[in-house]
Amino acid sequence: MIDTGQILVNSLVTSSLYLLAGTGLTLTYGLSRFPNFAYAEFITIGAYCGLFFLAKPGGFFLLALVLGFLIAALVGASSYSLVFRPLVERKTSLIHLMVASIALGYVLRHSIGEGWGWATKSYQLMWPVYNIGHVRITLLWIILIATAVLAAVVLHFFLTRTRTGKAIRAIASNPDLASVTGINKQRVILLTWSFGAGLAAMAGVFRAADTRLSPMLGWDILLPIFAITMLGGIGSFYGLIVAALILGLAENFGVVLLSGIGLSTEYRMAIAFLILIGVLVIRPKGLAR
Amino acid sequence: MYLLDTLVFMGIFALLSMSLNVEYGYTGLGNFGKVAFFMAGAYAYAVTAALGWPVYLSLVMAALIAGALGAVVSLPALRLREDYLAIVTLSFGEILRIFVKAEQWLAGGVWGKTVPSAFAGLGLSPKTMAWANVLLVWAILAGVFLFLHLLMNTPYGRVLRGIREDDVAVQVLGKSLVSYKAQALMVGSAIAGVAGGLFAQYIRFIDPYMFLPLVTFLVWVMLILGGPANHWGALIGALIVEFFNRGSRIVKDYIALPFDPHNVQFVLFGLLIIFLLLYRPYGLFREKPMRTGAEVEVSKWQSSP
Amino acid sequence: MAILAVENICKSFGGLQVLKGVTLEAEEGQITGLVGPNGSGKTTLLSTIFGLTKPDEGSVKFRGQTITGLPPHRVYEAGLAFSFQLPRLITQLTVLDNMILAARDQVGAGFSGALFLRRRWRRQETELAQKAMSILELLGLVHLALHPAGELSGGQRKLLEIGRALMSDPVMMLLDEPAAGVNPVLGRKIYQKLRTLRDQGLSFLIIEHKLEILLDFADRIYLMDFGQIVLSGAPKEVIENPVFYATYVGETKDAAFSS
Repeated sequence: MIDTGQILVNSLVTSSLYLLAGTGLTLTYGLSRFPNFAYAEFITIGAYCGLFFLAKPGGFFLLALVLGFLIAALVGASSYSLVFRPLVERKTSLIHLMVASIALGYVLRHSIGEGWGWATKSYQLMWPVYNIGHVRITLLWIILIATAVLAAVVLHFFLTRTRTGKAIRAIASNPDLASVTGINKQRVILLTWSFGAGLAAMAGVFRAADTRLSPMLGWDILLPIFAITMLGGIGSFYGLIVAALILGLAENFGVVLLSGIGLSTEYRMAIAFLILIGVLVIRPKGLAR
Repeated sequence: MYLLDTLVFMGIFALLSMSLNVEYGYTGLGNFGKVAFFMAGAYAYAVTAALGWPVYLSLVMAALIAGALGAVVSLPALRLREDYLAIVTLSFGEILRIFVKAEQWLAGGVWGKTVPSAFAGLGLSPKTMAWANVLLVWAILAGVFLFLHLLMNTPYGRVLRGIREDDVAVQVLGKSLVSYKAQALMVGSAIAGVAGGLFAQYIRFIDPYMFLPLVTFLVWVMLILGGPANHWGALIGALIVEFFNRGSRIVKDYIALPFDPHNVQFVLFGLLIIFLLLYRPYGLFREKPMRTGAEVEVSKWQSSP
Repeated sequence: MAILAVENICKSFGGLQVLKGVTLEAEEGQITGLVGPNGSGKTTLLSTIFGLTKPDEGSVKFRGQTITGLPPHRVYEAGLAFSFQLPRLITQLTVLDNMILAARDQVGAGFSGALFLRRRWRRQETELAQKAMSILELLGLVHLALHPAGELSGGQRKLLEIGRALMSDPVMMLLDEPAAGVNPVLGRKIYQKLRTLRDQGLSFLIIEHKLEILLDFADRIYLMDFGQIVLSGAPKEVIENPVFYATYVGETKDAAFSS
């Protein structure tokens, strides 16, 4: 039996998570012109910050969310200034930047593995469940969707109303635009790296709270996040919102279809992969351009 | 036995490192899903060997399947910028593992598959068998080494090196980018497939969890440390990295440490890569000038002023 | 009949229309010059002809064959050669390897040829090396033949860029400012060589800023401004036309010559 309402809610949850997780990737990809594969680890860091703070006396979920954001923002900013900025200044090739980001990913992932071990863990939180008609929704999902919507609204005003925000959009969506006058490009990039990493970390906290967590948490959702980045168009935040909604729907309806025709639901990931390949074949610049 | 085991693994990883050298070292293509083609080779070998195919045919099959996948998968990305290829290959690594896990009928899914040894039924002692494996792997490695050394010192190799530096210039000089790139990925993936076949044959049991992205990363560490576009660099990089990789496992088994040497090793490998890219991107061994027979003509012109 | 016929080529980037219906013809065995202020679309036109950028509209015919929108390697196969204004060399390869890379119909450039026709391509390599060295001698680069191209100075890079185009034995060459960045004496030497090649039947379409060079070497000139051809004819006629000076805003005849 296919419950359309439930699938729509599930899709919205998936989309919200991907949107939070992918925002920083698409913006930094657009600004710095290379994909940062260590992005997966920013998500994971958020998840483990959540684990750490929730275990502290007085720790509660929203506090974990905020602290996860701050710590990942710090990691994002320092990884840019310590690793990628020096590489960019040496005119390192695109491939080398990508290799460096993968290497950084291993440094972070195995540091987490050393600190918390590789076993799967859980936040052990119970969330109230509401039933609206047939549709089941947890408080966590409501918070997640609200956070994603709030982040989108805040980013929208930031990107359209502030000088820095306009500069980010201009540089990120136009590869040929080397510099925008009157804007400190380095500061803009640093800000985007830290803010993006922070949002990714919040996605990590939500993901861990909704399911479980391991040092592979971020890596496991890297493929869908790249799929929406490409589908939305590299550097386009509005494209990303649309792409996240599309992938959320495609995954959740797809899973139902898959089990309907007797295929394993493991193929959920393959949906993102198909979208990724489809974008490259049909419209490499994505929806936005 | 530890030594022989390490030698076999060193040989297999050296093949992988040399296969990445064809793609990245010479042609400048970032294949971030090396493990997928290694895995494809391993499973192709496992399935055909289980059907009773002889060793060499199974290895050829491993090369063919991995090579074909290498070209087909990369095709959508080859006309685009190099980051697209990176994302596609990396994603394919994940997808292939999911596919093998999900399809039990093919090769046991998550439960894995046993693989007949090439030297079964010969009545060899474990030690002789280990030696036979070392010989098999290193003989193939020597063959691949020679083959690639010859291939890269031809006009064909010159075009590949040209594409690495400036693909627009090479296009303007009349060379079709897509076919050269696809060929390089085919050759690289076929070699990775052979490595996968040898791996399956040697350890005699494979499951999807052996083919994690970690393998791809190790191969990159090997090549960047050893020196891209240098076959000796690719080989020696593989030997060094695999020495530490095996070493850390042995240490983990025998010595109680306050930390996990496996984790520490990967943190250090990651830092090593970043350090190398910043300060020594050409690794231990630098690229050698090409030898095609054209260079000997030069002296005739230079000596007569 | 014109060897190269460009008709109504249009191209925009984003909202910016760079080429607004360019039509020009280059005659066989002639040096056709293309002049115009910076940003008038000359380089874009050349790369559109060579397939490096796809035109939005219009057609390009070379020896009667339509080559519009073909990928660069196919345009090369049709008999054209291209030389960039800013040299795009293979910096890690030697000067000699850069030259041979450009050669046409190499037996060993394909995968199977490299493997199975070893003797044939080895012989061809020797021949190509001879040919490359004779071109390098002309350009004064013989002593650098075995140095990596990345070690060359700016002027030497430019020479190698042109040498590479020569190496491919084209029917027609598209050159983007071949004498820019080399000293004036050498610049004229390059043009004298191009004239010799023209006399042997080679055709040229050349972007050039230096008017005295155009006067001496070009057979016909097209003047471009704001993505359109505004003037064409024999060099003398064009240069003496008042429209010509109007396009170089604020420049007198003397200033234009000395720049």
